[in-house]
Amino acid sequence: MKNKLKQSIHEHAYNEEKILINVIMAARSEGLKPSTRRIPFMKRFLKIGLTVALVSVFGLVSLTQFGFFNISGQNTITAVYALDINPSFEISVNKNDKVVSIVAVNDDAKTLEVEDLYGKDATYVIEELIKRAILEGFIDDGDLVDDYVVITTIPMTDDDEDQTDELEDKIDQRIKDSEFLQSLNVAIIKAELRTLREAEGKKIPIGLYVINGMVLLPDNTFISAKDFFSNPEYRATFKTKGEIKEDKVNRLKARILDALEELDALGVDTTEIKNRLITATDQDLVKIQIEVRKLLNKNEIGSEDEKNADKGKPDDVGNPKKR
Amino acid sequence: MKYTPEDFNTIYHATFPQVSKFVHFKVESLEDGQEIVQNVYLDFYRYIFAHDKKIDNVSAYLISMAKNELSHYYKTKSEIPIILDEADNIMLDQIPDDQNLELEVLNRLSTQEIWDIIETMSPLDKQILVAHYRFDLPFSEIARSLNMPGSTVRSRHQAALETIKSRIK
Repeated sequence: MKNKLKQSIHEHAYNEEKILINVIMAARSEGLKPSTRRIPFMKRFLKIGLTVALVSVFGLVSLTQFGFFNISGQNTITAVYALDINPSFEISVNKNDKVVSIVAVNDDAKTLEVEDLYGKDATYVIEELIKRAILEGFIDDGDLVDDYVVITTIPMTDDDEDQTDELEDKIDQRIKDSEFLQSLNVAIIKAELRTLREAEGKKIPIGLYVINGMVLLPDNTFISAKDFFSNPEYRATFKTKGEIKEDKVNRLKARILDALEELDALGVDTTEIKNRLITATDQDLVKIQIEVRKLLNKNEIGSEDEKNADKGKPDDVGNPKKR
Repeated sequence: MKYTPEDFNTIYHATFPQVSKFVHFKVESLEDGQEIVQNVYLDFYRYIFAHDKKIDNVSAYLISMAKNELSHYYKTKSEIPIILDEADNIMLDQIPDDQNLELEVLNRLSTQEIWDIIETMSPLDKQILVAHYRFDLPFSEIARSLNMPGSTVRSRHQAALETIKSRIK
């Protein structure tokens, strides 16, 4: 593009791709479910052959102007991955799991930059959003409070279920290489488009909506994700319908050691605890984690969650408050 | 026949420039124009997925939908609608479109910086710039669409470029 003025106007005025994304998102939020029934090939070829030729012309113009090839169908949304940290996002993807749009579901989400993530792979975007939430202080991975993020996978049609089923394996692969993902527990569950619409209508992040649907609570009562996952029974219930990629033992030990160093700096004697850590089993680690957390609170270096111990608002999934 | 998402995408990309151009000259602000275009395609999306009926002339159908959207738009706005003069009776001077755009100056700015300057201009100047650079319309056609002399269009265009250049300095 030689002329920057022309390029600027093309980007900001009647941007074809941006308007298409807005249309698809609005249609999806209304629950419009397109048919996947195909008309006979020859009839389709004859009827839309001319329009395909026109699309090719406009596609070539786009190639020249924007430096990329716009293939018809690349912006068709086949699945939504709802990420509830707090903040909460709805990530729409195409059949190749490339991100078509990211919608900020709550006010905290609107504070994070997301435009640079469009067109990227879904699991990369999920990790990146979690990373940005940690860096902005929405998750404190240095305290000893178990942090959970909930990923809800929603296929647009029955044909798209295979794609959403594969996300869990992809997340597994990414966790292996990601320090950020290893520092928290990733809960993955499936939902239907109908459920997503219900949650949107009630202005509740879908992840929170789904987990609250798993427990019997008095009317108009909502449990936060933190309280939900801290209850062993509820966790067990969740595992019957979804998967939890839990914080690895080694990572938990590392976090405990970091916390002990903070206590050491305050003059607290942590020798006995450190000795127990050497031979601690998985169950011992959990007990030690609770002990150290109490020591942190006693010395007023625990997280806001521990100090406030509130139940959380409906739109607070991981931690109730940003530090 | 039932339309599929791929059909919608195909039709969308094939008709978007025509629908956008049609709407652009009938509204005062760019934002209104974009919203109307978006509404047209959303309505179209709703229609084709709720009905099995085939649409013979999709372009004409979309233009009709755009007219309906514009009628609704005019009812909610107090401004007098801009009427497109379809009659080809106005004789316009042949206005050359080649311009000395001083590209080297403009190329110093990012596209976002250029757009930020354009955003501060009057709706009419924005309309002319978008028509010329987004839809590649010659000044004569812009003038006909806006029902104003070609010399006025050209002057306003030149003044808009001068505004951009003056902001750089």
